[in-house]
Amino acid sequence: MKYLLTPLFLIIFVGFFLAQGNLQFNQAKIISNTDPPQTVPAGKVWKIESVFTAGDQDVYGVQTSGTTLSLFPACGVPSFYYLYSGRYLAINNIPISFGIHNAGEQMTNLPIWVPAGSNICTCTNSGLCARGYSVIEFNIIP
Amino acid sequence: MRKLFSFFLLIWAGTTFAQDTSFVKSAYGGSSLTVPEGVSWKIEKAYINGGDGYNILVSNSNFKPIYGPGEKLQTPYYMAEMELLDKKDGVFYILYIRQHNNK
Repeated sequence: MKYLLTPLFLIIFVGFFLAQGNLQFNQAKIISNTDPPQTVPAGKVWKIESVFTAGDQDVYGVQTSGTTLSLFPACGVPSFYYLYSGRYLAINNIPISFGIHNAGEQMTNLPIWVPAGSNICTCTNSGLCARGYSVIEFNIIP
Repeated sequence: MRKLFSFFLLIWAGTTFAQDTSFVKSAYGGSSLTVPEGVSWKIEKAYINGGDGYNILVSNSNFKPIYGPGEKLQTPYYMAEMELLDKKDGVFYILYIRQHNNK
């Protein structure tokens, strides 16, 4: 009996905790780079659909010289040498570029799913920062 | 023996007197399901899935309130909620159906 119940219990237990939530559309949001840092609310998930370019530039080269910069002081991201320019956001204190490298590669592919409790920080440096981003907010439902 | 009799009595009573049952069916967008004779269906909730790891809840207004016996439940080939999916081809529906026994 023990040998029968143990796998059964394991299947139920693992299934319960690995079950994926269902989503319900809640709202679309556009966040500007002058808005304060955003935290994904509890019970929600954000899907970043688009990251806006800082200006007319969309393709960025590698910086060959420069110094470390502190682009996200509001989020406590440490000073960093930004080797690749363009369209940065910081998600959970990790600076991420959404620009297109001059070799033709997208630095980070969209969409990005951001779980509840995560922090998204913008910056305002015209050469390095995203102008803003758009998200779809979903409710997580059973 | 008495326990066995009670068990079968319980099953018989359940199947004889139960009026409503709930179940889940899945179907691709644009396909149809036929309601069996003698029962009617009500969509309690419906999700769409584009093959990714998440389901999107869709509005019940995409379906009729009640589907009668022999009626075809047509799953829409397109609805606005599909814009929330990354892949829009091969979308399938997960339908939570309450079946009412009309007899």
